[in-house]
Amino acid sequence: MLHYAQEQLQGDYYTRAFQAGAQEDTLILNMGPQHPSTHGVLRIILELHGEYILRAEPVLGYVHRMQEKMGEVKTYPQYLPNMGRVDYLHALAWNWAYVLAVEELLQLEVPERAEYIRVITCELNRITSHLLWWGAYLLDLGAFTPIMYGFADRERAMDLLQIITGSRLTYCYYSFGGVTADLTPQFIDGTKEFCKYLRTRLPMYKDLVTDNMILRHRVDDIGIIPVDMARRYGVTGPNLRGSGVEHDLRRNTPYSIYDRFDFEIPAYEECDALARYLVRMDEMEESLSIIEQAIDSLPEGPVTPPKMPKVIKPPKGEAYGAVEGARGVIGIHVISDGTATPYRIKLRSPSFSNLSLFAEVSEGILLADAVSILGSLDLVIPEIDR
Amino acid sequence: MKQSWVDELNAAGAPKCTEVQKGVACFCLEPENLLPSVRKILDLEYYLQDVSAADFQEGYLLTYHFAHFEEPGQAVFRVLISHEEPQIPSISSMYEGAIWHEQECNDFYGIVFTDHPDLKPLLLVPEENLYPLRKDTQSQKSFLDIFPGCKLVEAPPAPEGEESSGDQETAGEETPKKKGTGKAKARKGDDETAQEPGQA
Repeated sequence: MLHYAQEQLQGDYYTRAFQAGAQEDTLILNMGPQHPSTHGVLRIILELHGEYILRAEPVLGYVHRMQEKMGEVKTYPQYLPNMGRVDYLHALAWNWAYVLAVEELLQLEVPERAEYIRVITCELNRITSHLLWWGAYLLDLGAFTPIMYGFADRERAMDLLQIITGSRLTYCYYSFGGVTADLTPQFIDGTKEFCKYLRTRLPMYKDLVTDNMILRHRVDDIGIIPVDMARRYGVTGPNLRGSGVEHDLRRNTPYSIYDRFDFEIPAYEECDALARYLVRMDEMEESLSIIEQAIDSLPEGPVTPPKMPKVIKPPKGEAYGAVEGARGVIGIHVISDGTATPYRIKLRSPSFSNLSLFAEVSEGILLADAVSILGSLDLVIPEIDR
Repeated sequence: MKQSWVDELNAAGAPKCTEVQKGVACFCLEPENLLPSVRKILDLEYYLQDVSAADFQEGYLLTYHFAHFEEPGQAVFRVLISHEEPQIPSISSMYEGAIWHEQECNDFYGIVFTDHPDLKPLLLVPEENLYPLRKDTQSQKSFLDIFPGCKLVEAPPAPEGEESSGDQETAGEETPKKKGTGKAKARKGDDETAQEPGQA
């Protein structure tokens, strides 16, 4: 017979605190930190009555790396590689938010060609992020085939990004004032081909999955996020556009050269998991359209500013770099004290705010629907924990 | 941010500290004005982007970033609280999204948010109080040095009333600067004496 110490039976700090408020005849269940549907190490403590969730509490911090402290002990360029590791799925958007903030502090002008390259690569990265979400979400819901299709197509885009960035996942490609390497003809031809190819695949995805009745039953009318709730929790990105709000920083506060392109902001009014699903599927098409327009009008010229200071020492002040990532508004608040090291760096990650509403949205729903809601929020755990 | 909204926030006790540039308006608040101003910004349908803190000579600076779903730009609230009594009302009764942000500030700096529903550790180990982002006195910089446009917390309320009633922006901008720097010197002395016993 196994013997446990009394402490072990009581669980850890969070379980003990959670158990204190439990009702009679309910079951306390730990979902995670090693659960397939939490995509990493997210843990959710649930109080269940039968199959219904009475109370849920996400427990964070399993991959916490104190990125903000790292920012205070490294110089500005030394901190650049960290940005690829905050959100491994849309790393270039984090790259961009950071260089945007530092460029604002330094008053740096970015050459036009570099802006176009940033748009092309960031949108390509957004497509890879959405493709992985698509496959993984359907895997959570019990469909195995889509993740194979999603990964195969994502692989093509990642091969393209590898040509110019040199890495496959944790990109560190943007530099202050530009990008580290120019596009190659191989990349441009390959990207044009990829856009054509993916346009033939997306209708197939729709026939195969989106119109599938089994999927519809799992996502239709599940996880309603009203606009008011989204506002109180700071939900952004496709999750917000699934609640009918056409808020997209690429349109609302056009940074870089996004005002030059013609693209739609997909939004659906239903506020449920299906709406969030459809927003992302539509967004891939819009990203393809932006990439094609950018490649067609790609100007010649340098990709780095003509004069760069040897040591990056921004003047005293602050800057907030905000870009639209695949999961929502990425914000990096940099406070500079005039030295080569940032005084304070605050990372605003969209998944952090998007997950914080889970406790409210999961009250009284079925446990199986909780998996559907978590997947529809498109969480990246390292981004939440930072 | 619309000028009429800026005026409404001024009336709610939030004097503007920097010019509205690219739609970003920054407000320096007294701790007691935080809740009315946040109520106002919620009525204006802003959403919460983040709550963050930073450690300065004068105290902890709390920064609240808000943005709007339709309007471009940001509204920024800054509140300075002292090192000796790091306390501020929680805004989580209006913005539930702030619950985690405030827990994070408590993890990193030990700032206490009063009326917070559950101020327990979020990202760091619950058994220890590490406060990793607190700075020692040598590496602390002056808040007014980096943000010259902002006033300090202890600024007397009388001129602030004049400022919000008289809409002269230039006059409003100059007075807090002078007042602020004078206050900063006085506060520095306070800080040094007060922090020594804390460190020992």
